[in-house]
Amino acid sequence: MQRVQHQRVLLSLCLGLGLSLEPLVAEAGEGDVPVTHPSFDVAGGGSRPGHWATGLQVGFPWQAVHVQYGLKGGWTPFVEVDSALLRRTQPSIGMALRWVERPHVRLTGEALVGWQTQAGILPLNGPSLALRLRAAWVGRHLMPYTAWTTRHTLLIDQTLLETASGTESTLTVQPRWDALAVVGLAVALGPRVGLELGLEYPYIDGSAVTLPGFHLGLQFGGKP
Amino acid sequence: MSTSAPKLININKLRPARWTLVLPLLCGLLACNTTSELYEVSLEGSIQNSVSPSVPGIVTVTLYHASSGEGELAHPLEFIERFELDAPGDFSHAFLYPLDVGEGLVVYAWQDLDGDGILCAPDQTDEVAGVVEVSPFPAHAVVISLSMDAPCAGPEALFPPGDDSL
Repeated sequence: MQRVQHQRVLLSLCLGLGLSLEPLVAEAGEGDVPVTHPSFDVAGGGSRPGHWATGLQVGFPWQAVHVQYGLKGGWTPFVEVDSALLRRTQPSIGMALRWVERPHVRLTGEALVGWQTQAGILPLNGPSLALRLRAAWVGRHLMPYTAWTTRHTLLIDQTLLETASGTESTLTVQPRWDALAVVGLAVALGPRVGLELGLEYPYIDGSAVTLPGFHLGLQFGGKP
Repeated sequence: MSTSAPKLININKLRPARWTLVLPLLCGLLACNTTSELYEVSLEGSIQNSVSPSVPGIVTVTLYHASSGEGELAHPLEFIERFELDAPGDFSHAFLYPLDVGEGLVVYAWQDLDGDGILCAPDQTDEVAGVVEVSPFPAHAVVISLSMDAPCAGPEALFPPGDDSL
């Protein structure tokens, strides 16, 4: 037991946070894995009824804020704002549903509706719909996971034609497709706080594979 | 990697009752992606070679904004479009002027005497050009009279008038 405590202290020192002296498991599950944990819930998707979780993510090029609250029946509504270099921002509301919840395996589907906005000389503004699949292996302290997102945005362009007899308006709709694959690792530091590291592989506008991104996230939450 | 043209949805082929309600709602309440303003212009008049009036040759006419950009990026002669006439003389041409790109309208023309598609060359220095700035503008109907009398002069050499920095 004393050896385990030393390991926790060492881990917390390495991460610069003194939070791991508390028990790591919020609710003991089968095989002593956490049934719910803010980091695992944000990265793996969904929350148990009555539990909330918040995630703050910084990285290159994406930053994000995520808040979710678990409802009965496996449903978890959430609000999410992600931004690429604070230039292309996508606020969304969504709903997550855990399709598979085993002691060590989670599979969650998420649907998001929102708005994509990018100002400047290359404007991208329009409503967006995103679907996301999260899969995770749940350990006691660690949770490797992957998330696959497909986002579809409608860019509505307006053309005003001013003729001698008046002004005509026409609208043109152009769909835009972005996809994002993430692999990461969530780390439980304490029952209410944890970290998450991830690598991002984007596919932009249906035609361009860009450089991979990375992020570091802080998650916290619990049950009111 | 192969790239494909962006897929466009032709909203004219969709059921109008559905999209005429949804799209203006999205566009009006939440702002469109982009809004382009086009101004229909009917341009007519005459273009003459005042050096050699009877010589044949295609006339290339180029339309420009007189000025575009702001601050340090301000510059003259922002391209709008180009068209050709079989020979100097009277003409008429309709085009759409982008209101949100620049201001003013400049018409530049040059005559291709040797048919090579290039204004002048080491052995061809008789090709002439001319420019005129339309005023007042914008106007839906514009009448111009353009005289080509400057040998081997590009638009930058003729506009703005009196600018000898180039």
